[in-house]
Amino acid sequence: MTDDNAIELQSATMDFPILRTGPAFLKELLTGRFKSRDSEPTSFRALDGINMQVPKGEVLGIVGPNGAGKSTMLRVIAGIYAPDEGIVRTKGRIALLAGLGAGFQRDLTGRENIFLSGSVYGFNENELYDLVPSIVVFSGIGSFIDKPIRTYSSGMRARLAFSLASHLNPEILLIDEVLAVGDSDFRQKSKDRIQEMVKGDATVVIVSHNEPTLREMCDRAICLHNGQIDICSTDIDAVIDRYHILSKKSIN
Amino acid sequence: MGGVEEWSAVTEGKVPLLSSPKRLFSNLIKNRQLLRHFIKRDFKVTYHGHLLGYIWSVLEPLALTAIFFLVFVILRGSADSLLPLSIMIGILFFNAFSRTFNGCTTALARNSALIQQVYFPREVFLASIAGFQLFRLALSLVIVFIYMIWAKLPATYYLILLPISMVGITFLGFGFGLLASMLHVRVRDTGQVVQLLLRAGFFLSGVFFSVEHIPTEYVNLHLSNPVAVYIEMARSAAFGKMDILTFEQIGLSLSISFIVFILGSMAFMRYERKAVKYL
Repeated sequence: MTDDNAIELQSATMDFPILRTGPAFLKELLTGRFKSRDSEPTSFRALDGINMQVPKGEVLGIVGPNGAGKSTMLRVIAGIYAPDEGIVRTKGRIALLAGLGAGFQRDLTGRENIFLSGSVYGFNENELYDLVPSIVVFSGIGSFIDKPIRTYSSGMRARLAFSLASHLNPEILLIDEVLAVGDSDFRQKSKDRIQEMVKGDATVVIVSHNEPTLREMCDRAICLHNGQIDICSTDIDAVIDRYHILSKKSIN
Repeated sequence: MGGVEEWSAVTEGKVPLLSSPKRLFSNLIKNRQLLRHFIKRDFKVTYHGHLLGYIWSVLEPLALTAIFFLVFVILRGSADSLLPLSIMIGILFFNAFSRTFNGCTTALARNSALIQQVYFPREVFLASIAGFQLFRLALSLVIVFIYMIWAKLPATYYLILLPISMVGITFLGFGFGLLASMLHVRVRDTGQVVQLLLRAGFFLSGVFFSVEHIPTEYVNLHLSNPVAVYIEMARSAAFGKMDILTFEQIGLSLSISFIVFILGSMAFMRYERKAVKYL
């Protein structure tokens, strides 16, 4: 265990309950039999004893077939899910770029949402006052900033969310597929901004299916398969090749 | 610089049971700025697009009281001009309890989008609802004071019962809400059940009758319900007299609030990390 790791996962395991609803759940409750007799599993193992260290400043790519546990892994690192077994340690402010703008309040204005989301990420009021102009300018939504979010188009909402996220200046940046949002102009701008963040001091974990991006940005890559690390290498091409083989297998 | 940097976040499965109420409080204090933002948000969202805004927290109980006044005083010919005040206090306090309980129960489910975006102690969502309702209750007391002046009711030492009752009823609703929120995440029927219970509670907690109106043999039973006691406390404060209510009953109700809150925070701190998986 070295001191310059930003992220450490020690045999992190995550089980997701397979929700029983309606009659099946009622039956379970009444009979007190929570483990069903038939071999039907009651939970789904999304992460299976993951051991991983990410040194400070590294850009780590994660690939893997659908359902391999990529998004779960990011959420575990972000602290949103606590592992059922094992320990997750992180250093510094974390921002997860996924499902941008989902946490916005429809009835509050863009500005109010910046303050709300900003304080969720641990910024104080004064810091946010300083940040707001820059966030507004980058998002390019102009006077809409003082209108309620429900009046925004989905593109505008995504732009504001991205702009906010990119100003959080996190020590650990987790990116889930969102490499570009908005119209073509903003797409380029957001791509550049991510490049900038990735090249900075932040430790970055990217989940993506975009292979050129991964090749270009990552120092190291991991291929997840059934909740386990199948391969981890600094040779990005080797990881991507392995990913192709696994995806083909899972289709067949 | 130099030296070993501390881990800023270590995520493990479990929180020790006994320290959970303390931890819940320290999390809330650490996140007080966030708490304030959420309370502000609740205010804005509740009164969003309203012409009269915050005035509604006074106007609504006033209108309800007018309706009850119409039914009880005018139609039934009851001569007691203080009855509307009594009913109004009942409605205000019961509403605060019911909205806290109900709001806390569904808080996690309603904020699932934000919960899956970033981690911060989730008790902030519930505490903000309790805080918002407490604040709203305090705001609406303006009308109680106006009524007291109009009815020439003197201000007495009994007014000290008012804040005690407000805090007691808030913690009761918050504690129940903490408990129910964990159930609600797993079985969404909980929200419906809570609503039904609250609707029954509305008729059982002496909202539009007070202890004087019930047969003496049922008084003790009635006052074993902490919500009824809190409402009676507020009435005693306004009327400046405490005839039937005893200090034992007040003490018992406060103890119930405390115990419910402790149990609620234990359940919440223990299961909250698991509950998020069901969202």
